[in-house]
Amino acid sequence: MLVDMLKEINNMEAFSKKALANKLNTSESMIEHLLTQLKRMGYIEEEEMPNNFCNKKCAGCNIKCSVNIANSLYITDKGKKLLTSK
Amino acid sequence: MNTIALVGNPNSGKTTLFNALTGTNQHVGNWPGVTVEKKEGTLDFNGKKYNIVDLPGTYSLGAYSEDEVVARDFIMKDDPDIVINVVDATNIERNLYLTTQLLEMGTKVIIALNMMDEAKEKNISIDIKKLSKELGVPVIATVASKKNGIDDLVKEAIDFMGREKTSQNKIDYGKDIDLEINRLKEVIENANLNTGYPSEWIAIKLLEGDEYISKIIDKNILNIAQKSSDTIAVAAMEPELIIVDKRYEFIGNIVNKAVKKPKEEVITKSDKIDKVLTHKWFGLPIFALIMLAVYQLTFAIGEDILQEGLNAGMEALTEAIEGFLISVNAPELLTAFITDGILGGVGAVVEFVPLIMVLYLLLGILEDSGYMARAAYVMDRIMRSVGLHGKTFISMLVGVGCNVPGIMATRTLDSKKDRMIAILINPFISCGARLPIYLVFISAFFPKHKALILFSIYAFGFLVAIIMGKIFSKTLFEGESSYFVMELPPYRIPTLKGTLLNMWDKVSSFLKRAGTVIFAVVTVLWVLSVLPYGVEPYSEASILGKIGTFIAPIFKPAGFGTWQASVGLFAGIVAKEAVVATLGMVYAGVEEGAKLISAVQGAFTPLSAISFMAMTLLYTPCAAVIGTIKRETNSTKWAAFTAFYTFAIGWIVSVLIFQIGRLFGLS
Repeated sequence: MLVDMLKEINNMEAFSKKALANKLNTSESMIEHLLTQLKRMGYIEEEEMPNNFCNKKCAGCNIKCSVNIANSLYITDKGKKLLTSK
Repeated sequence: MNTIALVGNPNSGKTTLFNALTGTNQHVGNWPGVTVEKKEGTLDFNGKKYNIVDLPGTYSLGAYSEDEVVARDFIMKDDPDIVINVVDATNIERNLYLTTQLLEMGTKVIIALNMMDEAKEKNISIDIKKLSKELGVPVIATVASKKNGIDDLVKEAIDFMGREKTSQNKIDYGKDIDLEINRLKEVIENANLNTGYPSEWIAIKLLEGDEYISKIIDKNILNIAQKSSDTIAVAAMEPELIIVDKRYEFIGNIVNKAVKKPKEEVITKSDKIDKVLTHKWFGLPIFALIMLAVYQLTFAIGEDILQEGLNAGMEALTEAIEGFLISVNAPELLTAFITDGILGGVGAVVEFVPLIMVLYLLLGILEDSGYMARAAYVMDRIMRSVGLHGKTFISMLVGVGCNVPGIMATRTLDSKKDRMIAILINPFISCGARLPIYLVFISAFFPKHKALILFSIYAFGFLVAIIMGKIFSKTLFEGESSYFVMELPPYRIPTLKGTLLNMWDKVSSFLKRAGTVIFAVVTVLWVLSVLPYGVEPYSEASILGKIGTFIAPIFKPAGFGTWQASVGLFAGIVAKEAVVATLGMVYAGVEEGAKLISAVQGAFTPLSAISFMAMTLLYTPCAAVIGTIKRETNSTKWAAFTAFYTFAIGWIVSVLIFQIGRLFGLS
């Protein structure tokens, strides 16, 4: 299941947990669980955009920013190696 | 007294069950040596007392957190008489992962299949007998919140305590791993380690690479385990991955046999919306239209409704202050400083607060709704098609507020090449500080096409950024881009409070800066504009005028070779808001009651206004941005390069616009 999920992520241009859950015929919370496992084992990395990218005003910034746009996943070298071997 | 341990995922109803079992007979402490809370209580059942221990909620029993180690150690070392595994029936697949690990431990476990009422509401049907048969352990249905099934659970738990443990169904890890597990188990048993853990379980953990177990095991056994891992590792699949995957396979087989869920709607409303918003061809035009609408609304609400009131207020304030200063015979210089310098300069920037407010309110709504992730995805495709890293767009989008965090947002880019390019092109993204500049010139020369012109400026900035990014990727920074997948979060309705707070955050920062940095810049420039003493204030003969006159010839080919425009641009290198503040100050002194917009109409033409806006869009970013580039690249060279190359690009583009426009007879 983990390898299948990694394959699906690799094939997606943008992913939603919902879409992954549908593809793998499972629940979204299971997808979150599987993502945690893949992250823990080093096959993917997840990057979250912090809600307040700068908690304090950046030096010289006139706009205290708070941009929460998109999280993203990287398939690591370890993950790519696994995919190419499958 | 017999001990019953409760274990389960967070939010599985474990604590509710604990409370139902113990009532008020409970106490809270800490597990020794850690900050994890320990809850114990006493159950009185049929005249006998039982110790109930509520273990920390965990999703698994690895060694990845204190909670997991505490739960695991209690089960294995304190050896409770029975473990009740609380499983959330509405989320059975995920909850059963913990169950598989309990089975591996060889623990005496029964399952409280909880939240059965919610499962029923969701049309999830679970064959409890089948589930019990597949797992090889008793399963009791409960609704802990309503105390349903509790008695049956307790009876079964007590009964099971007294029975011999029947063979719980084991997970089949595959021939290779099972072979190595047995081999390692034998080695561990012969070593007489006295760890308190079952040897088969240690073998599995060693193959999984469990850090905690690896630390307490003899080095020789560790080496043997490593050799086993190497033997098992097949085609980049490490033993840990195989073991974890086999657990999910085991769970999947059980769920297929024992659980029936309603077929979920495959295409949701959100999917349908995304199909349109992220369409291969329509996605970008839709994004452009949405942004155009944002700018249209910014003018319609910010300028036409809100700014009118503020302008009237500012005028009245200026008149009142001037009148007061004259009435108290204040020195002429002081009156000029306050009215022309501060109110004329800083006031010129503050006048645009209503538009900035509305713009950031609307952008905040787009962000909070989840649409911006879709926009980032659409732009991601375009960026990739020109060889740029898709995530560059996110740093560009952040740069719309301020280029400083825009540049810092490039930290999320792994490869040096991608990061450097994203940093170098970020200054072309028009930041919030430049907005007042465009608003002045757009109001002065393009009153009928405000939103379109503003949209065009932003779009042009993005276009130049993409072009320069492409050039850099082919020349200065060759190499591979890293790959990533963007998540499309679920859509949500922005909350009024959240959106307003977000907007106020930005506006208040803008006002604070107006009151500090811009105030300081305007003060310095004002002093330069009235010196040497006796010179006509704000004239070419002043120090400021001389500086401007010296620089001005550079900008003549671009159509704005006046000393006022030159000093405005020069001040903009300190802070972009200072451009309008400087223009406001130098033109405020031109004649009594002169407004900046009408002064600009006299000093520029529509064509030179466009070339001036192009210059301010593209030229050297402010000192804060240069400083950030220096810090983020750890290189003065790249900071200096940015300062000069952006100036060059700005100059070239503005000259081209003006000269080509003249050729076509535009003025």
